[in-house]
Order: sequence, then C-alpha cells, then structure tokens
Amino acid sequence: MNDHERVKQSPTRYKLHPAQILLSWLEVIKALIPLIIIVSLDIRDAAQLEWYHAILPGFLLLGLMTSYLSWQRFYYVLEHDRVRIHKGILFREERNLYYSRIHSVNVEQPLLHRLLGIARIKIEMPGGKSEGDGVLKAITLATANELERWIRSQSSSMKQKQDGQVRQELSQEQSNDVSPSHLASEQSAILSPDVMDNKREREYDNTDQTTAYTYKLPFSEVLFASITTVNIGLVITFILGVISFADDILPASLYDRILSVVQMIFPTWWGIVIVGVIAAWALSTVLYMLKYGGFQLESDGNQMSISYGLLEKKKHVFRIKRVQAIVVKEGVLRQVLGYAEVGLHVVSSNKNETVILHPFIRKQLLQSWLIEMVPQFNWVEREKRSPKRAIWSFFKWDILINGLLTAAAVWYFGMVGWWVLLLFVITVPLSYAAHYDEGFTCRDEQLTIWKRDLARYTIFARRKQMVTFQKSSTPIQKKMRLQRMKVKLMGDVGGTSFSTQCLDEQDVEEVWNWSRRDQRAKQQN
Amino acid sequence: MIERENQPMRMLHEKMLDVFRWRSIFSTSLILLGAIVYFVCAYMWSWLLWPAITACIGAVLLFVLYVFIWPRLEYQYFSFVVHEEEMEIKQGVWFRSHVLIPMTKVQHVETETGPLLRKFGLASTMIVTAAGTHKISGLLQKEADDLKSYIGTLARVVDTDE
Repeated sequence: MNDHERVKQSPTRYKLHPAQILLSWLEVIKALIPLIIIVSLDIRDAAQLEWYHAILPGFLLLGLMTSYLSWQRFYYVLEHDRVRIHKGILFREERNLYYSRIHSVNVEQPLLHRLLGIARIKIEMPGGKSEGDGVLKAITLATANELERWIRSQSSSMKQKQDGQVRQELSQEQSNDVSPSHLASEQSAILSPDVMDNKREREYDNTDQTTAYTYKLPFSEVLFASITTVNIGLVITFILGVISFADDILPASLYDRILSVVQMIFPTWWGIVIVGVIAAWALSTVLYMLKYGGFQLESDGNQMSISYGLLEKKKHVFRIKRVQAIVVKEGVLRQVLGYAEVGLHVVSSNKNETVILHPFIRKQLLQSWLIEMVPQFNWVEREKRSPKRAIWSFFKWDILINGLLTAAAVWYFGMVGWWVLLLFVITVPLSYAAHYDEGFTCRDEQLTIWKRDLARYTIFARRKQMVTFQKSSTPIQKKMRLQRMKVKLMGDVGGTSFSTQCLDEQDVEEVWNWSRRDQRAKQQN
Repeated sequence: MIERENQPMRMLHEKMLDVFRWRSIFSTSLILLGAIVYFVCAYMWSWLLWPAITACIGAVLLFVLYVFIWPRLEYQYFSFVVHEEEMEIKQGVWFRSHVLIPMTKVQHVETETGPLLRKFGLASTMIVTAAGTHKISGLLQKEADDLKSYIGTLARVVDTDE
C-alpha cells in the first residue's frame, strides 16, 4: 500500500501535447478572420502603415500567449479513484472525474489531429455540460489509448469492489504481492499505478469474463451501406457550398463560361437537377464511407469498444450495462432491401450523437445478434398499435401545411398554383405509413416503441433507466380517448427523449401504471 | 401506502393567479404598445391602416384572453403530488401533460424566487433530473422550502444501471 500513498503525495502531473498551443491558437485565428480580412483590405488601400494596423498582430500575439499559458496551466493527475484535471489562467479550476461515474470514453482524431499524430480524449459523465466535462484536447495517440485502457480497468475494478468484500480483500492482497515488481517497472510505464491494476484486471479476465468478440465490417458492406444512405442535410449544405463558392471565388468570366457550357450540355433544367442529384448521392456515398470505413466493434461482455473512420478516426468505449437505449433505424431503401442500422444511446456531451453499433445489418440476423451484444435488452414483437381513429392526428399537419402552401401558390401564381395539391400524393402515403407503423410493446422491464418519420425506428428502453415518463393530450384527443407518450432517458445534454404520436388512452394508461414505483410496491405487498 | 396512493393532487397557491395576470399584463401590453405605435405612425405618414387596426384588435383580444380567462385555466390545470417513490406533475391548458418522475432519478432540488413572485410572497421549487428540470412555480416561500427538503429526503440517486 506504500506505493499508493506515495503516489498520492507526489502525484505525477501529465500535460497535454504541446501541439495544443497551436490548436488553440488556430481557434483564435479562426475567430479573428473577419478582423484579418478588414485589416488586410485596409492595408492594401492605405498608402502607408498606420498605428492601428498593429491591432491585428497585437491580437494574434495575445492569442498565442493565452494559448501558451492555458497549455502551461493545464495538467491532469491520475489517482486510484479519479482523474483530476486542473486548468485556468486567471480562474483556476479543478475537476474531479470519478471512474465509477464515467459513462463512456471517446478517443477522437479529427483530421488536423491525425496529421499531427495526436488524439483528443473525451470522458463523458452524466449531467455534463455542452463542452464535455473531461476533455483532454491533445495527447499522443499512444497516451490516449493507454489512458482509455487505464480508465476502463479502473472502472471495472471499482465495480468489482462493489461486487463483494471478499474480492476486495483478495485484490488488495494481490496488489501487495505485486508492488515490488511494480516498482521496478515503474519508470517504463507512463501511467504509474497502471501496471498493477492491469494485472489485477487480467486475473479477473481469466476467471469470470466471457470470451472477447470482435467484429469488422468488410469493405463491401460499408460500400453497400453507403450507397443505400442519402444524407439529405449533407447534400443540401454541399450544393449551397458549391454555389456560394462558385459565386464568390471564381472570377466572373470563368463562372459565366462554366455556366454557358453547362447550359449547352443540358438545355433543360431537368438535366441539371438529375446530374445534381446523382452527384450529391455519389458525394454522400463517399462521405459516408470516409465516416464509417474501417468500422470495428470489440466486446468482452462487460465493456464495448467501437471505432470507425478513414480520415477522421473515432473510438467510443463504454460499459454495456450503461447503454440507455437501442434504436434500430430502417431507411426506406434499406427497409426494402431488408437491412437496418443499429444505434445506441449512451451518456454523451455531443448533441444528438448516437453511437453506431452496426451500420448495416441484415434484418434476419438482427434479433440474435442484438441479444448477444446487449443482453439486458429483449427482442419483442409489436403488441399494441395506434388505433384507427387516431389516423386524423397523423394527417392534420399534412393538411395544414399543404393547404397553406397551396393557398399561397394559388394566390401568387394563379391557376397553376393548384398543382401544389400534388404534394398530397407524397404526404398521404407517408402519414399513412407513419400511422401504420406506430405502436409499442411493454413487457417485463422493457418498453419498446415503433414509429416512423421517413425511416422506421424501433426503440428499446428499460424501465430502470427511464428518467421521466410523460403522457399528454389535447382536449380533442382526450375526447377521442387518445394520448401520446414520451420517455426521457439520460443521454446528451438535456436528456434524450422518444415520443409517440397518438395511441389509445387505455394502452398508455397501462404503461403509465407500469412505470410507477408505488404501484409495483403495492403489488408486491 | 394505499392512503398515499389516493393522495389528492396539490394545487398552487391562490395568489399565483395574480402573478399569472400580471405576467400577461406585461407581455400583452407590450404587443398593444407596438400596435399603437404602428397606428400613430400609419396615421402620420398615411401608411396602410388595416394592419394597424387588425393588430390593435388582436392585441385587445389577446389582452382579454390572457388577463381574464387564461390565468384561471392555467391555475386550474396545474397540479402536482409527491409520493414516496415518485412525483407527478400535471400541467398545460391546451396540451395537457402528465409527468412521472421517479425519486431515484431526482438529482437535486432548488428553490428560486423572482421579483414578481417575491412581491406576492411566493417561490418556485425546481426538481432537476439528468434529463431536464421540472418547475413548480407558485407556492408560498415556506411551502416551497418544505417541499424542497421533503423531496430532498426522498430523492436518493442510485446507479440503477446494473
């Protein structure tokens, strides 16, 4: 035990990689871009340099200085039960991240980080702030991986301590035995108490852990998956980007020439649209492949590690028991082909980020595979569905929005505007499908929700992890004995929620009673 | 235990009606003010008058609705109850929602009071969970404090993931 005490008294302070100075300086420069443009334009126009031109270099220098100081002040310490992070230039801050409270650890390598050979590690805790409570913005990849392993081993050894007193005593004996050899090897180890605990962990591995599972997604499947996904948001931003790029950067003569060539090849705008759509699709395919290429999943029955990315690399590590919800998503095209994407919700500071458990799995294999990967969830069939009388509530927005659009079009374009009514041809089947696919199953400890917007979703959530349960209705719905429900779970900032559109009141009431604790206590008595 | 089950829903304090009214007076009088300013401008520079007239009528209607009718409804449709294992909050005039919060998921409880609430001797109790904050606004300051400490003793965040 001497060892631990010594570590406590003079803890090793680890610093970030010096490249962090550059990275945070780049952020300052990025924020200063408008100023840089203004000043450089002014310098170009002015006959000579004026005193106020010194403002810009002054700011840049100040930025460099603060970047240096914040790097200088930042350090983290690994203790046996927590990571301690110290930072702040004027206001010193100390943050304690207890291993037992850590929900997931992400190792990320954005492009710039990768070029510099460094990585960013994010330690996710529940109730964190938007920036993430424990982010080490730049450490070498080797250190990042080592740190991730260290946190993993610590949090599982913490858990095992909770498991039983006997084990704790046992492990202490072991650590006593191990410490002399540990002293010798300390210099070589970057994280000093690491070796000892790793050994302890390994011994447990042998005794009570199942065999490790590794899954790599073959390239052909990634390709197939990427072809069947069209990321509309991405495509729109790309097209807008191209247009504004062409408008701003290209010289006017060149722009005109390109435009005339394009018009020569495609005399009608239909051609341009078709080519545009194909280009956008190809682009979305390439981007998808860059994002999910090299997808790999490792699981030892307790911890799971998922990594992917060709240019920007990402790796999520989390405890399987801490998965808050599973979301199976079937896009229209994929549903036809019989494939689905499986996402997980774990606590994270990134808004709307789901961890992808499998980007592209055959629907038939899904059931057995899910049970193997996340055994605390059960596969169920849909038992309750949205009643027939609820269908109006799926159509009401269509009717309202299409009606308004048509009215506007008729008012603006005259008779031609009536063609907007054709929108109903698209929206009616969609809303009908949304009604058809909606439903839930509430059995044992698990609530499973089916719903659809464009894609069909199957959401698995467990009662123990529900933070709140809400039922709601408008007076009209109430009269028709309809209700909607909403489940909130721990997830990203402000929680993750899943809701249904319209269900039978009695069915929702059943779920409500199921989610009540008092009720259960009463039944047990 | 069974008695607790049948525990009636608690309402907010009566004075909250006045707070709702004052809030509505502040916000709708702003709209009314805007409408009047437009009206004067329109009169002076001979802009179109009908937007001003509709805006004025609309603002007056909103004023009547939100000062004389809505607060009563809002008050009526807000209720809550604290059980040993969970608490419920009912709210909403048009979208009526009913939330169930298990005590094990309550992270902490706060009380807060703003200038308007303070004028009527009221306060809010805020129940913070990992997935958002629920607010019970409009209890006497002492009641709010009592509620806070009561929930505080019931809440015990345990890690139920395992």
